Formats: sequence, structure tokens, C-alpha cells
Amino acid sequence: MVETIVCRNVSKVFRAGKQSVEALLGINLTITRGMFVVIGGENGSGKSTLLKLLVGLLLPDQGEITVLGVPVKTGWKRLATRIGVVLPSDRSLYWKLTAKENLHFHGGIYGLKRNEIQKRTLELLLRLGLLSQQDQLVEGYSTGMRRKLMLAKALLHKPEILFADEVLSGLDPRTTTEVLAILEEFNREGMTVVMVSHVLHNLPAKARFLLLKNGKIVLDGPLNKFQFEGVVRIRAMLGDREIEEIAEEAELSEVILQLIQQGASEVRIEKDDLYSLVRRYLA
Amino acid sequence: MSKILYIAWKEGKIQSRYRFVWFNRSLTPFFMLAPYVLIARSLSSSLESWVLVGSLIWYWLNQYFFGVGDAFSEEREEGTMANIALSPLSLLGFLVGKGLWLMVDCLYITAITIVFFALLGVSQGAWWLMLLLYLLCGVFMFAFSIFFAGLVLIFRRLASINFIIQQGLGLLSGQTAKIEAYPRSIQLIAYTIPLTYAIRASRALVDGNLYLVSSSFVGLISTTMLYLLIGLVAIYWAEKRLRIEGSWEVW
Ligand SMILES: Nc1ncnc2c1ncn2[C@@H]1O[C@H](COP(=O)(O)OP(=O)(O)OP(=O)(O)O)[C@@H](O)[C@H]1O
Ligand SMILES: [Mg+2]
Repeated sequence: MVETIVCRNVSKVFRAGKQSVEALLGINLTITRGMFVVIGGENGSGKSTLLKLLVGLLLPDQGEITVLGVPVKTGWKRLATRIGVVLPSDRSLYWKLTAKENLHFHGGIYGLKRNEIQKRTLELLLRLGLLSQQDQLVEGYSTGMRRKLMLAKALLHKPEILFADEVLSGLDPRTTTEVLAILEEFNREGMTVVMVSHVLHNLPAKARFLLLKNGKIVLDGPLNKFQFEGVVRIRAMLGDREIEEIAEEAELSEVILQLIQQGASEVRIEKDDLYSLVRRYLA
Repeated sequence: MSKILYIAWKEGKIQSRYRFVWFNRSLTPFFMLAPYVLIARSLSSSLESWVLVGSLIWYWLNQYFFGVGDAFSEEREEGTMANIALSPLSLLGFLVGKGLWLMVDCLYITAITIVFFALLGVSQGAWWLMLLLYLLCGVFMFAFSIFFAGLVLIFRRLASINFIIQQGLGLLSGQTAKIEAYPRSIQLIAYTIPLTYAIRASRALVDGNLYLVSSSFVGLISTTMLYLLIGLVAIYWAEKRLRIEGSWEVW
């Protein structure tokens, strides 16, 4: 297996005056080629910081990061054409340019040939359903359309790795599925995907899930390892308190009986999913 | 097209979305300078071209200090700076692209201004020769503005006194005056500013004093080189700091 991304003991502290925020603490991480990695975690847990460190926008206080065999600290410009980055803010597009012009500009500063830019632009806009609005100024785009254009921009120069920070935020359910399908398709063709996301459903079965909490990785494993089949979540009111229990389907009736004996009311049974797993880990 | 040219292309495209602003900008220097030039004319006809030439050179500095000096803060406020940083283009390459666009922009506006003054009967020698000289001096003003851009990246507050700095530089360099009339100490400061030499060279060209043109260029080249060098170090240093602080965007 080819190690594509390696972080060794990476820490990042932000200092502003006397205050300092420990955004990441001793991160060790290896991502191999072709992986589809999803990074989750609460607001402020360090997800974006990790992504920015991986692409070179930030320098770590401690530790080393290599991407595609290149040390990011010194070699980030050499890496530029080999990675694609979707930043979280849609302000990273030029709003006074059209979608097509944004992509042409991007292709241009990434050193693509003119006809290559034209071909790729057409392909991606078509694939993302933006072709009919390609000559519209980005300022007239909706949030979701901008998000898709940002993805097109990151994919334009055929990167080996895609880093995407909240590329799914602001997308409607159908578009979320569409964008995930596109990412999976590119991933199948060999592109490594590292995405930060608060959206945790419909993720590809092969995805590796990383959970950050207070700047540390608290959970790391393939999604299909987390068993949700045959597991249920029971919620109930105990007095004025809401409680939640996870149980195997086989022992369901027994658990409910126990709960009722304890005086629980409003018992609800739900399928377990990644959201509740994350909630349990972060509690 | 090379990567750098795409920066210029992008600037041009965005500008073209503000046609009215462009129209406004192309006439501004004429209306701004006309009162001074016309007063000078009522005194003597050699003075009018002195003021016009000095002011036009200052105008190039003004455009470069705004365009290049604020280039980083502009993109940071837009939120597009991080994308430039992530691209294979260096920050300097980005500034050069921006500078190329400004050159086209300034050349066009200067030409319009020259035409308007010519219509008023203000002469300044062969127009094409002067335009060439403005362009050449413009290259040096551009290099000088890289120094300012580098400083702005380090001392952000400088951006807010950009215009005052330009005015001060104009005054010191004798935009509308002879610096020989200044006190000795002020003259010494004036000779550390590239603009001083650029203005002197252009006036010498109007007067047909080719010896003074070339000696002024020696001063222009050497002072500009020095500022450029400091500017490049500042940009290099600032980039590192941006990567430590992560302040690629400011709203
Ligand atoms: N440039 C910066 N300067 C100072 N502090 C920062 C900077 N960037 C991030 N931080 C701090 O580092 C911590 C982690 O921030 P980060 O943006 O990585 O969180 P996140 O997990 O991406 O959160 P969200 O889900 O809200 O996007 C936060 O406490 C944040 O305030
Ligand atoms: Mg974030």
C-alpha cells in the first residue's frame, strides 16, 4: 500500500496576544492511496486546521507532514498541481466572474493548456449540472451551485488527492447524494479523497471515518466496521430526563421491559446510525 | 498564456464588469490635474509641462501603490487569497500579474489624459516618447510598489494610510515643485525615493536634456533595486507568518 499522507506527531497552537488555542495535539495519521477519508467532529474540534496543515496553508508547531512523498512545509508549491482543495468559504470564488471564467482562471494559474482547460471545464460543468448556467456570474449563483463550482475548480487539474472542507454543506438531499456519487466515482478512478463533513449519511461503504475531539483523533476506522445492522437505539423519558440506550435487536424486549420497570415513559425505538455513534463518542 | 498572464486576464475581466467605474477612472486624472496644470500655465509655459509630467509619473505610482500595495489585502478580503496561495504561482508571480494588468490600465488612462491636455494646448514634447518614458518609469514604480506590498503584509495598518503615503511621496519627490527649492535635509530624503528620479528623468526628456535623463535613470535603477530587494524579503517573511497564523482571510 502506498502511503499518500503521513502526519507524525503534529500539533498546532494558535496564539493571539496572551491567549492561545491548542487546535491540534499530537496527530498521527497515515492515509494510503485511494482511500476515501471522512473527518467528523464538533465545531472547533480542529478539522479545518488539520486540512489546512495537510495542504500547506498552515505550518505545524510540531511534527512533520508529507503528502505524496513531499514534505509539505517546504514543498507545498511543488504539490500544488497534484492536489485539489475545496475551501469551506464560497468567497474563495470570484463572484464578479462567471462560472466558466472562474474555471478558466483556475486552469490558467495551474498551468493547464488552453484546450485542456476548455475540455475539462465542459466535462465538469456538465457532470455537476451547471452547464446551462456556465455564463452566469457567480454572484447570481445559489449556495449549492457555488459549492458545486468550488468542487469543479478543485477537480479541474485532475488532482491525485482531493481535500474538501464541508463540500456537502448547504446542499439539498438530492444534490448531496449526487456530489457524493461524483466523489466516489473519482475515488474509484484512483483519486484519494479527504473530506471534512458534518453530513454523515450516504457516505460510501468503504469510507474511513475519523472523529476529532478537542484536537485529537478519538475514533478511527472503516465505516463498515461500525455495526449499525441489528443494533437499535432506544430513547425514553425517565422523569424529566431523556435517556438513550443502545441494544442488540435480540435483547430489545428485555431492555424495554427493564426501562419501564424503572419508570420510563415515551419509549421510542430508532435505528442506530453514525450520527448517534458520534454523539455517544463526544458525550 | 503563462500563469502570470492569467492573473492579468482575471483583473481585466473583473474590471470590464465595472464599465462605468472605468469611464470615471479614465477621466479622473485629467480633472484632478487640470487645476494645477492650468495655474502653472498662467505663470509660465515651461512650468505647466513640469507639473503635468511630474503629476503623471506620480499617478503611475498612485495606481501601483493602490493596485499592487493593496493586492494582497484585496484578495484576503475577497476570500480568494488562500486559493492564490494554494496555486503553483508564487506570491511574487501573483503581484507581477497584477502589475502587468495595471500597466495596460495606466497606459490607456495616461494616453487619454495626454490627449485631453493636448486639446487644451498643454505640450510636453513628442507624445509617443513621453508615453514610452511613462511606461518605463511605470516598471520602476511597480518594483517600488512591491516594497510597499511587502510592508503591508507585515504591518497591516499601513494599508489604511496608503493614500497619505502616496501624497507624502509625491510632495517629497517634487511632483509639482523643484526639489532644489526644498531645505537640504528634505532634499536628502527626496533622493532616497525612486519617484524623485523618475520625475526628474521625465522633465529632462521634455527639456531635451538627455544627459540628465540618463543620470536620473542611474538613480532610479539603484534606489528601486534596493526597495525591491527589501520588498522581496518582506514578502518571503510575511508568507511564512501567514502560514503560521493562518490569517489568509480577513473579513
Ligand atoms: N487562524 C486562526 N487563528 C486563531 N485561532 C484559530 C484559527 N483557526 C482556527 N482557530 C481555532 O482553532 C480551533 C479549531 O478550529 P477549526 O477551524 O479547525 O475547527 P473545525 O473543526 O473546522 O470547526 P467547524 O466545524 O466549526 O468548521 C478553534 O478553537 C478555532 O478557534
Ligand atoms: Mg471547519
